[in-house]
Amino acid sequence: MTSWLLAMVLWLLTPLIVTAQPNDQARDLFASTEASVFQVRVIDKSTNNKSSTGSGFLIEESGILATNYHVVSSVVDKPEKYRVEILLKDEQPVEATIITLDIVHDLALLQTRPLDAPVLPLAQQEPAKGETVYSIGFPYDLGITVIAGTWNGLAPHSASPRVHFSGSLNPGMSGGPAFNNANEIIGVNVSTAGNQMSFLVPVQSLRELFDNRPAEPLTSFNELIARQLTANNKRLMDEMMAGDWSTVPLAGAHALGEVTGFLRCWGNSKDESNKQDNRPFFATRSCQTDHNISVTSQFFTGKFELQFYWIESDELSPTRFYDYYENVYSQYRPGNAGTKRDLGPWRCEEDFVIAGHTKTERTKTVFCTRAYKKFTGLYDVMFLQGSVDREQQAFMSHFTLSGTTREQALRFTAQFMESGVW
Amino acid sequence: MVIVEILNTTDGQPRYERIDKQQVSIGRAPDNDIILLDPYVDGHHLRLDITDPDAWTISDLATTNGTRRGKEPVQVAQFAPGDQFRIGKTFIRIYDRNFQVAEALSLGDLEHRLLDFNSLGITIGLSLFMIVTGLASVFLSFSGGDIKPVTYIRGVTDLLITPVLFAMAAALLARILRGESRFRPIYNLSLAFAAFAVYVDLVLGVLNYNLPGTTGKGFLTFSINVIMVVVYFWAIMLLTTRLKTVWRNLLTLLFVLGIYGSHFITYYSHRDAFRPFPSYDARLYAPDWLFRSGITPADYQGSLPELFDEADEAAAEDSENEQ
Repeated sequence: MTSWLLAMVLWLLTPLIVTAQPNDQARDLFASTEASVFQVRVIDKSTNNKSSTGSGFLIEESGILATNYHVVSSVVDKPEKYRVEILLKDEQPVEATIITLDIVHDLALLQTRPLDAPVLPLAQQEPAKGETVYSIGFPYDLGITVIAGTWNGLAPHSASPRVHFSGSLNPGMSGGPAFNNANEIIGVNVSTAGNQMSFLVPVQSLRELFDNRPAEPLTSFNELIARQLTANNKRLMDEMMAGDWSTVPLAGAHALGEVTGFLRCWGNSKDESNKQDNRPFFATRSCQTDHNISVTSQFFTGKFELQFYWIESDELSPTRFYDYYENVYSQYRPGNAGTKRDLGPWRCEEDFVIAGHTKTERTKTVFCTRAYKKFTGLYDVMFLQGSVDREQQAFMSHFTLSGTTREQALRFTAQFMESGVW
Repeated sequence: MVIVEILNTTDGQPRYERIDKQQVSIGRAPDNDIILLDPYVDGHHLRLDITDPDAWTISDLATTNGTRRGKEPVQVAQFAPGDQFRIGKTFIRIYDRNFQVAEALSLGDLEHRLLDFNSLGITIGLSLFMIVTGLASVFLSFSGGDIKPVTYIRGVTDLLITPVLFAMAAALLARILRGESRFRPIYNLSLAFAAFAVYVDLVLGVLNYNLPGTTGKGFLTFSINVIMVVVYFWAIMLLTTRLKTVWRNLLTLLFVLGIYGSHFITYYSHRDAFRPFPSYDARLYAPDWLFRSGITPADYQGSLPELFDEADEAAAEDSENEQ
């Protein structure tokens, strides 16, 4: 009887023993790294109060810290209004300046005075998929916290490299480090999609930024940001142009397939067997990149979007059909957001253009663009082409490119218009 | 001798009888001097006595429906040349040959021409035309669901309410300033301009559709609208006020400047506002309305670099305005 009980107790304890191991590891990790992780605060100069917080960690003895760009983006955007400081363990604030940044990978380097804390080493190798990793930061201004999760490798189909980390990152942890079992940094906390779906910037991007940092902190970042956005746009455009431009049928027309990995496509059509109204039949296909680059909290760029929309009706007269069609045609919107500080007014060019490979069919074509005010040479572009020759059918193709250049936009437009989409 | 004008309200056309007697009988019976076909008129309805040139007398012969001058019943009364009486559904007016008629309307006087634009036929015709237009505009637009009767009613009232209210206001003004409402010609005029505006808009819409880039607010559309409004206000001023030409012209000018001035002020106040979405010309008409052919994709793309220059300039200008 006694031995049976003992066996039972041991059996119950087994899972505890197994799960205790990572917790111990987390404790060790916390003990050895905690001193080098700091809260990063953005201070409103006129009220001397913090307006947002994030996390950062020491990566060089002279006082260089790494954090996310979006943690300090308001300082970059409005240096006259905000400054950045680091909060030491004794709650003492220390002034910091931004040395350089990587807007595409969402990283920034801060310079402060030498701090009495160990420098955290960057890992040379990325962990294996499924390995437990740990993330540290200051969630909700609550004090330092460590979170365990699983390394799931680079998220597939992402427009920029991001590690899928199944742990709960919370606001305020942005910019904090993520460690492997050897207490080496393997990534930087960056974002969450909720439900244990979080993302890390791989450490490789941080190493590149650190190695190429300028000797003196930059005073203006506009040129650097423009350069980085331009290079990123070219990289994505090259990938799209070299992608698979074969078409797939969409009701009575042809749409593009998933041109390249980072464009995710979705489809929808009207369920004719369950008609709720007598609107025309529609079939739609929409593809877009998975994330925006945040320049400020109100200005996003970098998103690409392709959309194809078919409508047809047997019942409506051409006049009525075109009235409905006009409604649909007039409601296209670019997929990114910005404000008057960042973006110039739209300018559009409209005309009747023969659809690419048909050689005869007329389309009403609209091309609109607006310039970025601070980043010379960058634009948002919206393109829309709709058939005008069919009496009871219509097909529209649309794309939005945000944060693109003239050269890339024109190259893409030419290829799109000749792609056999129609 | 008297001349009797007979106006039957059911057919609307007056006829004139010339009678060379001192006493004139009027009624439905065949032994009357003037025989009326109105079933509401008695066999022997009225007697006129014009023996004394200074005291013409009218006598009602105890009839079923009576005789009225304006709204007042008349038994035996004196009357003057030009007075109008109602018997049954018929109006009669009695003149002598020396009766001074109003001056002839002048073909050269626009006010007189406008005053003559008062036939019931035109009123009914224009009203029907606008009602049909309102119904058609509701039917031809399609946003998905079935069209309810109330939507048709709203479509018609939306189209008619402005000209009708305007005509009523102008008629009131005419009543105050000229002593007569002149409602019919003002109403006809307002409806005619409204109908013109609706259809000219359609024609210009199709024209602009075939000329992409003019984006709705084409100069032609704008000019025609201005001319239309000027002409309308000028005509209304003519009908409603007794102003001299120079004042009338000046007031019309001020009125039109006021309307367009406020438009421009609104436009300029908002021209710097940030628009997150492009406002492109989204007009689409059925294929039968498109008369021009398309340009090649290469030609279209050739025009795009210039567009980027425009966007650059617009952004630079915008930044300057902010500082």
